[in-house]
Amino acid sequence: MSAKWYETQGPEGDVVLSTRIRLARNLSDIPFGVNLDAAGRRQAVNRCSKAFAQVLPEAKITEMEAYSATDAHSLAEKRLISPEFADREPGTALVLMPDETVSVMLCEEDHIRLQVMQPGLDLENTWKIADMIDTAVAAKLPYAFDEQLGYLTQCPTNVGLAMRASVMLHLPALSQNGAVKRLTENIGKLGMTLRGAFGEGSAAQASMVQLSNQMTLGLSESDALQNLQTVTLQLVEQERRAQAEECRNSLFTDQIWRAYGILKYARRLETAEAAKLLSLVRMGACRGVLPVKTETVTALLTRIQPAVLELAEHTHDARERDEKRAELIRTTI
Amino acid sequence: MLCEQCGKREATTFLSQRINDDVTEKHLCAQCAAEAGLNLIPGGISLADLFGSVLATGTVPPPKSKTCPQCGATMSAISKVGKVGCAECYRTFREELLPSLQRMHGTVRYMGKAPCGAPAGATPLEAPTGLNAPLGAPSPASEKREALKQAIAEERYEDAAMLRDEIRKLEEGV
Ligand SMILES: [Zn+2]
Ligand SMILES: [Zn+2]
Repeated sequence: MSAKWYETQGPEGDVVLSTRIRLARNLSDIPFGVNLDAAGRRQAVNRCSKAFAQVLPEAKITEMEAYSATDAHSLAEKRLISPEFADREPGTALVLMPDETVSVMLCEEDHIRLQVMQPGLDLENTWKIADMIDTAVAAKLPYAFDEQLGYLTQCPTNVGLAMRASVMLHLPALSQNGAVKRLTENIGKLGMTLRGAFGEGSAAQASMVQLSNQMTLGLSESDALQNLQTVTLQLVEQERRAQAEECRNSLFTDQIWRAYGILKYARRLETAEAAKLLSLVRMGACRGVLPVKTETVTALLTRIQPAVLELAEHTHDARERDEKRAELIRTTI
Repeated sequence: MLCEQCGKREATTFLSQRINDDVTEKHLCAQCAAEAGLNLIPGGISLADLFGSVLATGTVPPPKSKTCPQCGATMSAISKVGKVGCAECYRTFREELLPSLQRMHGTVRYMGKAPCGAPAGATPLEAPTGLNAPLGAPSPASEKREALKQAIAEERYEDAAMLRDEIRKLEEGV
């Protein structure tokens, strides 16, 4: 099996794990999802599927009901779908490219939620791919669009660009000294948000935060992406400086080595603990403190998630999963 | 503007509550909003959560009889759930929706791509309303927008926030 995008290292990959752009689109001639029943959703999905099958001929289109609960949750853990979409509502469907860089949720909140992901900080390419697919599909479907308001969405907060661009950042050093909290306020003023990412519990543990654009009117896509790029690069610089500072402190490198020691020898690990320790080890790898490759640790952050692990290792209960998780980590790092 | 609760931090959350026909409107910073029991992610302005109440205080009262010809939604139903029924609703209830959208986004001027791939706004179909600055012609707002980019690049967040407010005012035609 070839490596998926989340197992490779992209630009600024020490701090930026991935770039994601989501576009929300709707059909103009039928009600939005809130007013559709399962049959209505199925009809909408059929029309959208036809368009996507032409634009993305290699993509697999699957009704969400056809997935098992574990399949669906593993898709959410890999961030290919939203956690709500993993509920497998009747009539909804997923368009998924084999390399998992492109996924389209059909009849999630909007009729179409197109998502493109790339490793590292790569807003330009991610946007190019999303823009190209979006334009090609728009030629085949009547999009809900208004000259003054832009793309019309079920939730009025998305109206306009109907675009959420986000970067997933690993900020262990800035999280450590409380800087992330201060930055969160400043970033809010600029029409962007900074929030914990990567599942609820393990997010904070792993020092993962997601920076996204919030404004969708009064600026163009390229303005929004440019602003995001600028703030991201500043965060990257600050994190690197803070990491270099921390690594001069033997108290901190000791923490990194201890985390490595536990991961190397533990026999049972829960997701949250593993994520917390992997975060430290990842930082040790980035700074050359530990003899581990950064991308190996990055891939583990996805591979240790409960549903992903259950599918890969065919585990049956939580205890068995914790044992397999520990085994997977200690044989990988 | 500053938070109306603590008066120290920049307000990032707009809160509008209706209790028995009594409407209170407040601009709060992330921290005070959290303390006020709004379950917000730090700094993450959860506009979606507030949308229902924001819409309910729209300045134009919805005519009782109007329904969307495509989905049958009424303005009161839209306000209640905070979700719009269909694309046609945006046309049917435009007057009622615009003030809320203006408040939510700071502007109602779209500047992104059009479905055909070309940038929108080059040939506006409708004459600009009072909410809209004239499109196309270079405006003071576009200069400010450049200055905003610069401010962000130089990490002058206070200046950036101020410029953003000024741009909004310009675009509202105040
Ligand atoms: Zn306050
Ligand atoms: Zn409607």
